[in-house]
Amino acid sequence: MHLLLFVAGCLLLFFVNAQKKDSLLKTLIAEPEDIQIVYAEDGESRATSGFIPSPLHASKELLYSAISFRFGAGRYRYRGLDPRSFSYRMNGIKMNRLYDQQIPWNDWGGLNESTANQTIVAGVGEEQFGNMGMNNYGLVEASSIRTQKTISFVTSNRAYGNRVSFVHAQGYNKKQWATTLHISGRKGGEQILDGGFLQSISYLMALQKKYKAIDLNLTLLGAILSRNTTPATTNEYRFLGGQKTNPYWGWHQGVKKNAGAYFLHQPKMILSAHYSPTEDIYIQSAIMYSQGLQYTTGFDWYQAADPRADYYRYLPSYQNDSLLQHQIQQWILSNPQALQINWDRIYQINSHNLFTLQGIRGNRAKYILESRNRYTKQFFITTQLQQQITATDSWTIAVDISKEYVHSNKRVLDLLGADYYVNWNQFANSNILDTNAIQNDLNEPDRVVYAGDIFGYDYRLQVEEIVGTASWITRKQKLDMHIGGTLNYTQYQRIGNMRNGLFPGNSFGASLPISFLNGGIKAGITYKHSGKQYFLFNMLALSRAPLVQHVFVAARVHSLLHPALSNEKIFQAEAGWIYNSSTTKFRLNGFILHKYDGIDLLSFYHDEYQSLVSYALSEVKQMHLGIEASLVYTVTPSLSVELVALVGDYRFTTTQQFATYIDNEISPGDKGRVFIKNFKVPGTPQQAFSVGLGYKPGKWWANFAVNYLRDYWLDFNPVRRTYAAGRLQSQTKSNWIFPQEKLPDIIYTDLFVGTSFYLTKKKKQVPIMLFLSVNNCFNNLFYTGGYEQLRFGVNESGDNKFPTKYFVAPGINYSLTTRFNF
Amino acid sequence: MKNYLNYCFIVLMACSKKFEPPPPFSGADIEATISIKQMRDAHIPGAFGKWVGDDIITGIVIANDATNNFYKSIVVQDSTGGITIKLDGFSLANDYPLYQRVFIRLNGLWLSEYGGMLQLGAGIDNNDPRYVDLLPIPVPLFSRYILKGNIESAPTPIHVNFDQLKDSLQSRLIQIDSVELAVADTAKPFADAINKTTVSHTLRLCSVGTVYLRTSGFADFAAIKTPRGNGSIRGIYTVFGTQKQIQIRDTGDVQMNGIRCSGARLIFYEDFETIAVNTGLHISGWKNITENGSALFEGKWTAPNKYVEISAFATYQPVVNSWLILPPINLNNSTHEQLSFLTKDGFDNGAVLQAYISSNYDGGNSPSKAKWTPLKATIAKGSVNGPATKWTPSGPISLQGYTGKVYIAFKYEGADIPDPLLKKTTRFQLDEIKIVGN
Repeated sequence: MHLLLFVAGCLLLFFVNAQKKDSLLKTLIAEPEDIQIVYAEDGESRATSGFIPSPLHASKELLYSAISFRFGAGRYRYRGLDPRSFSYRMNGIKMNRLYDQQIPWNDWGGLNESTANQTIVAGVGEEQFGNMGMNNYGLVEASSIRTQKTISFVTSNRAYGNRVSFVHAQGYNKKQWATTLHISGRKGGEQILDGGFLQSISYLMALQKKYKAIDLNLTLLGAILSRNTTPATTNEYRFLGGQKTNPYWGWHQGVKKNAGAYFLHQPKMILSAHYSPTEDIYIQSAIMYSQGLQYTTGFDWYQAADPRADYYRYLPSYQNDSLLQHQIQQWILSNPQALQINWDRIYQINSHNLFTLQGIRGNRAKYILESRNRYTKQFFITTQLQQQITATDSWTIAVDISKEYVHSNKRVLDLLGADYYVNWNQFANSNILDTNAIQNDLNEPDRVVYAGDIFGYDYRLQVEEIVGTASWITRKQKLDMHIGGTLNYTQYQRIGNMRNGLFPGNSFGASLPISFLNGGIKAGITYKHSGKQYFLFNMLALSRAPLVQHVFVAARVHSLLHPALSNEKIFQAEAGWIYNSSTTKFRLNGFILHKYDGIDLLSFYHDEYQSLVSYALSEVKQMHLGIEASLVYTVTPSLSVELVALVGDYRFTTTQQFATYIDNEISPGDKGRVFIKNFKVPGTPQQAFSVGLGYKPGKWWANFAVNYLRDYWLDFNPVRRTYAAGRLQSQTKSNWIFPQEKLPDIIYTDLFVGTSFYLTKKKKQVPIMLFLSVNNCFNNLFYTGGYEQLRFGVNESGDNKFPTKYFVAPGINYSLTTRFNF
Repeated sequence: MKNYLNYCFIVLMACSKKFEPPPPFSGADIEATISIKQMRDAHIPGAFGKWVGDDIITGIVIANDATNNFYKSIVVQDSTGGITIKLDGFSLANDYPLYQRVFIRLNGLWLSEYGGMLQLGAGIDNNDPRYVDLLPIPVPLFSRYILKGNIESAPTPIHVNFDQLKDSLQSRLIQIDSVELAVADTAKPFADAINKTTVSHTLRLCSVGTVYLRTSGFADFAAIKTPRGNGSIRGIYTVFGTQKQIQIRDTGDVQMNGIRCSGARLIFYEDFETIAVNTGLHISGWKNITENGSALFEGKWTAPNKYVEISAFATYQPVVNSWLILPPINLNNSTHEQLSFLTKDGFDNGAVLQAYISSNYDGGNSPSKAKWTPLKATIAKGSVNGPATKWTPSGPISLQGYTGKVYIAFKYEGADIPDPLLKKTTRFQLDEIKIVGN
């Protein structure tokens, strides 16, 4: 009873807090609560007498936990590295999608308790040859999940809202079988975003059998997730609609209907084996098969006005006349539905467009809801052999063979009151010279499509990757040394299922496969001055293949390749000093990183060309350098002070080359240079500071941290930094287009409180854990990111027609976890 | 597995709440307070006037951007007048289809003329005081100013002649009858679809007056050729300065297939005034063939007129078949061609004169080998006791449908045998053979 009252009290308190100010938007990318970092059990120390133990894994270090945990809300990325520089291995299998090399956290979202067993290694590592960024090594095997029978309840005002989770993990029984069952459900609503919704069910089943030296495990896991998409919005739009405003929904017969939905289900089956034939040899192998679907929904329309409520022409700033601006502003403020989708209008228009095509008479849809689908099939194999050669030397070799098929297409999801739609290209309509241009598929011209039918585009990308690595490490009395190499073969191919009317020659059928061969070497040394002091030095040189999503300039419509394909080269050096004493833990790192020959690809709708346009960038050169420091000072056994400072400078060091490809035109567009020398690398704050207090008086613990992030530069539009853009802007205002936009400094305060106690019930003691996390305690407003719109132009008064869109962080938000252990 | 995926997809589509389309729109619950004429009359010519007061007009949409001939505007009329409303959007026809009833809240809107044409907008742009502009209604304010009723039936256009074209008819659906394009403007594209420029073609009324057919280069039908003929045109009456204009919604508004009143172009004419008389007709290019019997078409003169004549009389032959074939006629450079001629009969006892047309006659002396199609002409008959006193006009015989080189022929079929019942010796006279076209 007391417990109930306590929980209710907490809830009330936080709801009141939450209601005071609107919560803010969140991005769709993996949210921090999904990546709960729980540290690995104490790593096996190889220390034997006479040895000074090597520094621990990153997971134990304040520096790296702060990056993952404290600075996550400010979108800090380790050393400014791109997402593909991070990796996650589950039961040995590298989980990064080949398509974009990103970690698909959402694929197993909601399984926090089971996937918590992770070791994090910063950098490529010693034994392994990982990625440059953070490498998570997770074990999700029946025996590695902590033995438990627990039910957890999470209440929060975050996007993922409430969560129920049941875990039943039984360690090995007498017959050496282990099983784990984990089911969790999440439900969210409009806490963060008007018209928001979220439902998710996650599941995990694992079965493990130990047989002599072999340990065999089968894990099946996945998450079915259905939620709203999260738009970035302009300041103007949020000013009119409020912080939670969302242009993707509208009232429809008394219900909020949201046009933007995201669905994901990508179940995975991993068969893994561990084998130790002798004390010195350890072999780990795994096979993963995964097949699933993800899609987002949105509008498609034909010969009709843009239905999206935040289209720039519908907002006051589109007007040059200040009186009209004011009038629209007043009208919108008194008619908030003007900022939402007008479903009634869409249904009415769709039901008044009688048309006869191919003998079918009916209302041809002007607007439809479409789903943009990605069906992914993965077949990954890995095997790794580790051998202790001598008492000090060991080596590791590993091979990964991965194959991924990504089948992308669009389907009609909802005809919105009309009878049919036609597989035509809405943008090609202005091209009157070629009557075939309008056809999305010449193999079936003028095809009438109904709900569920494929239209628009339909193609498959096949990606193959073979990676071999070898590392050698020696741990001497005062010196650790490691050296390693990697070889990487990548092959890409596109297979089109439609013959596009604009590109009949190279849209249908299989393209020639294109392959890349890359490699890398690493070397490092750790001088163990004493058990208290360590000096580290590491070097890395590697090359990486371009991503398949950058290799084909417009895989939607044809198989043309990026005009300047090249492997990216990276050189990195880092040095570190670690000082540990009974009261002080200090770490200082410095690093420098150079990238050459990078390529990129941007796609967007271009007003002037009236078409989707791809910008193929090449000759991308970057330099990243920085200093990282962390200090934990134990004041009393129950009180510690934590300080973190990360100061970096990541920038582009040269101009870049661009080439334009217009989806709706056969010939390539402009070429030229992008003048962005010394522009900052966007997408992450370059400086981050944190001051924290840890308090553990006994039965409970608390952690309080103030985080300050700055030097956060906005994703910029390279098109605005071209010669042509310069000419356009110089006719109006001077130089306003060129500077890069810096986001305001970010400051937020987080509080974590946890305790555990026993509830006695009929002589049986039930341990209960309470964990409260409050983020952004002082409800600071800040942007978590944004982008300059890729299209640009100026209105008559010389202002930017397409202002920056931002993602906004939620205000004060909390989550309360109650866990019952049976 | 594939099936499983599809299944997933279907289940998801089914699970996502199925929305029913909303009930049919029943129309705005609102009434007009003034007529469009009252609104127009309240405007001071030449001024930019902001409407003050909660007045509402209503009307039905008679033009929109469905074919892109009207750009960023719709035209609305009631029984008293019409008005053009400037709207700052594209694909307006989706929201304001033809004959949609709309109600317009005038309070806050602006009235002004552009080239004399009264328009309704949402504001004025006076950045440059020399060229003050009426601003269109922005998209987000459509629903503030315009409410929708039901779609009604098409209104009857007002039939007008030139004198009736007054400014009070601006922005109304009118129809002008007996009108045709100036010769220089026929068979030209409605507008310049390549350079996307507007073109005004000259329309001449048969009675009196000139109006201009104005078409935007963006119109879907801009590349279609204008008609050569005479007929009626329907559209929105607009003005630019002193110029009276009509703007059509689609090519269906133009029905001009008749013969031009301004004098059709003469393609062929023969009045036989220079021929030799009392002998077989001989004109260069013509054929005068006796297929059976010996009756030739002969030149004749009855002061002051010359003509040709044929009769089987006194040939004493049982079958008399004779051809008079005109020189080849090229129909490629004209449209709406009409043939006409005059005939006169005498002592009619049943012989036949018939006009034919052929596309495959080779110009030789065996016309029967070709395929001849009879033409529907009125031929003189019934003058049993002597020659007729008056010429019979054949009436206009349309040659529409024929192109390229054609031949026109007159075939006489008679018989001169003693049996009075079988004797067919009617005398036919032929004159004034004329082909006109546009």
